[in-house]
Amino acid sequence: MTDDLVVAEGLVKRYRVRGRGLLAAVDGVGLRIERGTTLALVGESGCGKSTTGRLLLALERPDEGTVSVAGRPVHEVGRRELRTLRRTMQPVFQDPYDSLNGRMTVGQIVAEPLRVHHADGDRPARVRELLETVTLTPELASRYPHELSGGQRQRVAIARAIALDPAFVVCDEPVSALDVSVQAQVVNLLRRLQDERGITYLFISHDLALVRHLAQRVAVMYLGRIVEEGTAGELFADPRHPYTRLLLAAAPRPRVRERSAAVTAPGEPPSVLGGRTGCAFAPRCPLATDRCRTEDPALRTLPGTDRKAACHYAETARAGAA
Amino acid sequence: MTDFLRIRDLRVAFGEGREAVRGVDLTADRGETVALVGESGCGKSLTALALLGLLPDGAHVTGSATLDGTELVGRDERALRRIRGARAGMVFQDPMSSLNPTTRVGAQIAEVLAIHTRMRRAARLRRAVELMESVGIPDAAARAGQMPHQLSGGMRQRVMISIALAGRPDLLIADEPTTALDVTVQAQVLALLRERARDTVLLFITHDMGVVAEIADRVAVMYAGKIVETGPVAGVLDSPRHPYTAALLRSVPDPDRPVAGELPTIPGQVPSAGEHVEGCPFRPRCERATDRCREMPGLTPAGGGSVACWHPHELTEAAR
Repeated sequence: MTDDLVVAEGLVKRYRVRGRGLLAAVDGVGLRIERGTTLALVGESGCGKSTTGRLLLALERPDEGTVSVAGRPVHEVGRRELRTLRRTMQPVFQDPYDSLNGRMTVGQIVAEPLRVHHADGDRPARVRELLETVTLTPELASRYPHELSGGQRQRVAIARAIALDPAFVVCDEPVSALDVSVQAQVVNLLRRLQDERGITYLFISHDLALVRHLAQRVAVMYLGRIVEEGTAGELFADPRHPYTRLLLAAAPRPRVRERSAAVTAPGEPPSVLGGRTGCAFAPRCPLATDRCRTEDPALRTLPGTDRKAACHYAETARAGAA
Repeated sequence: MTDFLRIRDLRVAFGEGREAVRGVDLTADRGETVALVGESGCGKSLTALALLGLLPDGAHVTGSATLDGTELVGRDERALRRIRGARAGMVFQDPMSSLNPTTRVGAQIAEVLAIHTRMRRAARLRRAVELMESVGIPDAAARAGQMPHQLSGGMRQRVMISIALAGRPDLLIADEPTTALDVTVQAQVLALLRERARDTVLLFITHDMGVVAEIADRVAVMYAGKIVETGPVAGVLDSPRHPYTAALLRSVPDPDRPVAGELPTIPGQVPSAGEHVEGCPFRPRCERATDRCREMPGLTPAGGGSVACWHPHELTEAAR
């Protein structure tokens, strides 16, 4: 029995799109994250990965399904209890420039969660300590966000996120806007914080190389659903869903390879407006058959493995076939 | 002389002592794709903008850049206008900011043809649809009647590429053209650029070493306004000579080769624009730096390329 800090079941979130009906941004997502580990949620824009993150943090209400964090059902608790729960779950977003108040000093930004949640103790000392934890010099406390570099701003956002010692942090593309050398610094910081504090992460990213480095488990989303889930090592070594294979093949590598071998799948993710018949990936899938176009494959555990995939041919279709 | 594009000692300064591009030398042949790589603030975009006279007011450009013998630096706006579109095209990161949001995309392509060709209106619109087909836009005739916001990011970037190619340019500058796209769409757009840039010089600006590996014939790595290393793509990626190139490549995670423990990083920070570093600009962050590095090393031939370093890494066996 694993110790799952975060358990989500059957999450559905629909949005009304003017004149075009309902869009199911998240369409039946379930996931579990073991305490102190990282689950990466990967997929292309519009696949629903950020919405899933917001549902887990109770920043949005699902239309269906449940989320529990540390055994508490986050969408069912009363307002006061939700306030307490919020101390234990925090977000880190892509662009710290958007998520940091430009009129507050770095010190005020990091102290704000302490103030809002009436944390006791010597606040200035705690702010200094938090800045040092994220490898910023405490002298930055009097500066404003616009005076900092992108990497420094993201460290401030991380310091704010960990101020109340959260158990669960959702990182939504936290390093996508940073230069590579700075990316590596921030990624190392996130990992060190996990090691030291046992933080559980949902790491939302389109960057498979980073995911490979950071996550124990990976869930791949396509059009509002998880299409494959497994340990990072196994999923990267032997992807079973054709979409996972496509994503892996398309990810650029920093070395020259045979260019004709570079994958260019036809088409782009279609819209999730309207209903589905059959597998949502079938129109782009090199392995699609008539069955795929009529029968929607369920996400199922592959026999004898620690892997789930939503593909009729997950057992037979092997790497190289796509 | 075969250097179709020839950049000599290009400098871009914003006011006294605030030089952002500090003497760039670069050549490229017709049909060659050169990737200009570096982190933000290294001067890669300014270098490209300077070639097309697109720098903001207050930027002072010196040096020379010739395209098939035609000087691009120091030309007046009229001459530059003629060069842009007819001889040089440009694709930016965000097509939404380059396209007119209130005009149908077919009409926008036709507009470019109106400036640079003598085609009649009906012929221009037909040509616009052909150009859209040529960049792989399905159902181009119908798409031509759509507004930019009705297209996906990948389709919008294809429209930008078709506009940039409309005048059959000798030089195509692409500044982070796939950075905002999803990986599967990025792969498509890179394949398109590879295919369509066969007769032009493609100057491809990016921060992404993975993209460099996919598109470039040659690489020029920039740091603090200077090219620090240049050479054939395989040589630079497999066997980087400059410590900055090597450190940058090490800090890029590779999905096939996970690193145990921490990702390698580069200590310190890029010098800010106008900040003066005596000698080699990478010296304060460099693990190989010595006293000699207080003197600026010139770009000198090494292996198949050039490197500006007193203590470059040795070529590996494979690259020799």
